[in-house]
Amino acid sequence: MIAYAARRLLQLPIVLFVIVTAAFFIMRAIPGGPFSNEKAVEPEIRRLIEAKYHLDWPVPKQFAQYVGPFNLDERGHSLFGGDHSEPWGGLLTGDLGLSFRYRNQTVTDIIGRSFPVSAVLGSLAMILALLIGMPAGVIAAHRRGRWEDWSAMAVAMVGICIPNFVLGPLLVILFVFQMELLPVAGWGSLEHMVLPAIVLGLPYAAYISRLSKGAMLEAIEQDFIRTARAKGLSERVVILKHALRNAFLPVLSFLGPATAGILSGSVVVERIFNVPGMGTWFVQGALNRDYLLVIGAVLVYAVLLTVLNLLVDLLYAVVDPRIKLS
Amino acid sequence: MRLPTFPAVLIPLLIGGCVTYEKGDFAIVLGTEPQSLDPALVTGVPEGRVIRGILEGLTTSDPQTLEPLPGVAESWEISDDGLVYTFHLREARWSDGTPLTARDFDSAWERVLRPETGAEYGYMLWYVRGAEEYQKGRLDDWSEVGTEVPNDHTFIVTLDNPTPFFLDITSFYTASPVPAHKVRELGDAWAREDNIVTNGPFYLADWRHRERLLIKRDPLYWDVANVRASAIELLTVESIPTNFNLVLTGAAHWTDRNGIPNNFVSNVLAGEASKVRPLSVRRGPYLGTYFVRCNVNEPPLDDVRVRKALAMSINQADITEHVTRAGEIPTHAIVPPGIDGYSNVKGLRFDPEGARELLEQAGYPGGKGFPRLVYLFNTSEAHRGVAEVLQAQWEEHLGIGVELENQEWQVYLDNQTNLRYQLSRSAWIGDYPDPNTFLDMWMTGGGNNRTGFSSAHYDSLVVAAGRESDPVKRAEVLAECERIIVVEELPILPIYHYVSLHLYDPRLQGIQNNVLDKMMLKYFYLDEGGDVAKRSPGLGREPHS
Repeated sequence: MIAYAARRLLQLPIVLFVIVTAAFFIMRAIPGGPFSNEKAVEPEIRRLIEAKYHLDWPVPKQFAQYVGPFNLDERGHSLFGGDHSEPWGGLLTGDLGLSFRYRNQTVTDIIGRSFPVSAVLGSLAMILALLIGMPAGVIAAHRRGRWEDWSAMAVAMVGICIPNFVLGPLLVILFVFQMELLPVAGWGSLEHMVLPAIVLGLPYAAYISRLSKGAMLEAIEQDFIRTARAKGLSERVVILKHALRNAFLPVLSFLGPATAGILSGSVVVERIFNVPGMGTWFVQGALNRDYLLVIGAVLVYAVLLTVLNLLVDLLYAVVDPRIKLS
Repeated sequence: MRLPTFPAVLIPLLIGGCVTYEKGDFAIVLGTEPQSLDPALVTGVPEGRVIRGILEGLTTSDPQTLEPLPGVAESWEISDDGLVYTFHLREARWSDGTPLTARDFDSAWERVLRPETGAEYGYMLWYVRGAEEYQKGRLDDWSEVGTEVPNDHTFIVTLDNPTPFFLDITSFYTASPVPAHKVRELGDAWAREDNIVTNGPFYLADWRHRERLLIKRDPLYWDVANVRASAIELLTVESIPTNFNLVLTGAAHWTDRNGIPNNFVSNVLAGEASKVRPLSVRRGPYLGTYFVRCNVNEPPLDDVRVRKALAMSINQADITEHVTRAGEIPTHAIVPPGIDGYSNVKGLRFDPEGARELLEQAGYPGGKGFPRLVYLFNTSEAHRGVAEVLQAQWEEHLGIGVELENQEWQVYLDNQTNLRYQLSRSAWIGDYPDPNTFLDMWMTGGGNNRTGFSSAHYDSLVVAAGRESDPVKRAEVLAECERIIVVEELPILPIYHYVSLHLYDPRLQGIQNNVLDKMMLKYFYLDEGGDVAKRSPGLGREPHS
């Protein structure tokens, strides 16, 4: 298992390199630029700004500068004081570069601030999704065809169908304007997290309940469950101890990419509740042509996705002894 | 599966996520996240609002009339030819206690104009002799540029031309002083939140990015006695409905037009924004114009008769009454009303009959044979609304078909700049209260022209206006320029002038509407007790009960 994990981790740099390369060149292929503005900048001034950020270089050279590890700029940038003409630089030295739009900040500054926010909110939402989704699915499967099943699945269907930009404002009307229980938007206290976590988590809860119901139904048909029942185990033990373990497998494989997605933020939820998370930077970064910020965000997402998928694969082996990793 | 490990990981995260916030006396919605607080680097509205609160130039502006008022300069003299300004600086200090001298202005202006800085608003200082050449790298020696520091308290500026609005320029944030001692030490990083040192009514106490900035009254500020707010929170908000909700729930005490969703504008103006919370609203003229650019190189728009026909078949009131709805002023001109000493030009009125005739003369009777035009706008519901009205009116009055095409902002800008369009939605917000800011942009090859319009006669008029020292004659020349744009040549089709709109807690005092919608935080304060209705200024609407 350790060898397996090590092999997968060794693949990571290659995967990331491909992703960064693709992101870099795709971003540069879009028209417009970080310094295009409604008020025109004199061509001479614009050239100077672009030179400051190396945008006047051929794109492959810019890419080489971005990745590093050699600093190709003989004069060095003095954006943060002093003369930064060190021989090393770029992504390989851990430098994600400068934001073009937020001109006193580095991409590391921006992601370092926003990722923890998204991670907290995303974890809350995911816990909520599991706490609601798993029991709902198990009950629905166990009470198949009865009202518990119908109502749980109806709610799940609605949860999947209602987009978050509808659910968010609905909850705001209810909890903020009608009941006056929660703050309308902002960040910094537990109260501020409740509504965004619900809006972010509910669709996942719905999805998880559908998945776990399906898997549970399959599990309770199987021989070992019949054996367990025949042994005279209580229904509770049969369901929670034996069947649930099996029912959890498809949920687990869903959790990998889902957690990566939820942890890296959601632009819609962040806009509605004014949460300073990372999702907005994906979108705003792209709209502002803040090239390096977008690549930085993509990189974080890619790392999350790969690592979480690996984690899921490893957990498979833990949950289901039939699976051998090799 | 053992779920409890998951929450165990989370608890420290949650604790890390909860922070105690220092509150201000009140909170205003600033707008989007400022790109920076370095006056040399920024160009946006939210940035300007913060910078005017924390940095003060040689002059400031009256919050109502925008009349230049003494700032760091306690007085000034202007030479008879209008070219030499001598500013006398008061004893002032930076927020770290360092004395502020004329050298801080000199080095700040040098920094703005230094080519490597890449200051987009450097042109604001180009009225200073040699400044343009210096920024464009054609002049290397700063001592040849028209600024002089004879002693710590005197700053002498020499201009190329008499520039009647120069004292407005010195109040503009690009001309703010920056702390030379900090810039020497830190370079551009002087403006990062942990380093920044300022000289205005407030200093930056805290900046939680994409949440809020906190500014506090600076006890070292020379006019601190007249600053009544001790701390103000400036919220950064991206979404219009969220912005509106913050004000409705009392979490924010002030917002501008960007906090009022279009669907609610009529309710807000009627004083019916909220049933539970008294809110005041006030509206004022704003130096901004919404118009359509025509690509004059592109047939059939290369024919001025076609452009005139398009202009004369627009009924602007339909747009302001049914689409924008905030009381915008329908217009046939480009320069908005509200500039002292300038009488507005009457452009081409709505005249479908005349428009059809012109179109016929151009060879398209009843719109027959007229090629299909494409109207380009940046993706937004509001711009689509305007575009649809224009499309319908041109169809109805001229019998011509116009296709609507929306593009993402940067793509749209790129196409407009490179003249890859036929008709294109446009707007312009004035930089200073003078007609020039709406007229010099149409000079040949100007970066903001973007229509292909070029006229040697027009260029010479704008230059002549710049050299004219008699304000009356100057206004006449500028009016002639405007007449060429909106009566004779029509590279643009005027639609409406913007209005400024503020929605705020009636206890909030010191808010003024001025034509640039310049926010002067210095005068803001929250009046906790007292009779609100009595104190509510006459200009605004009374709060409803």
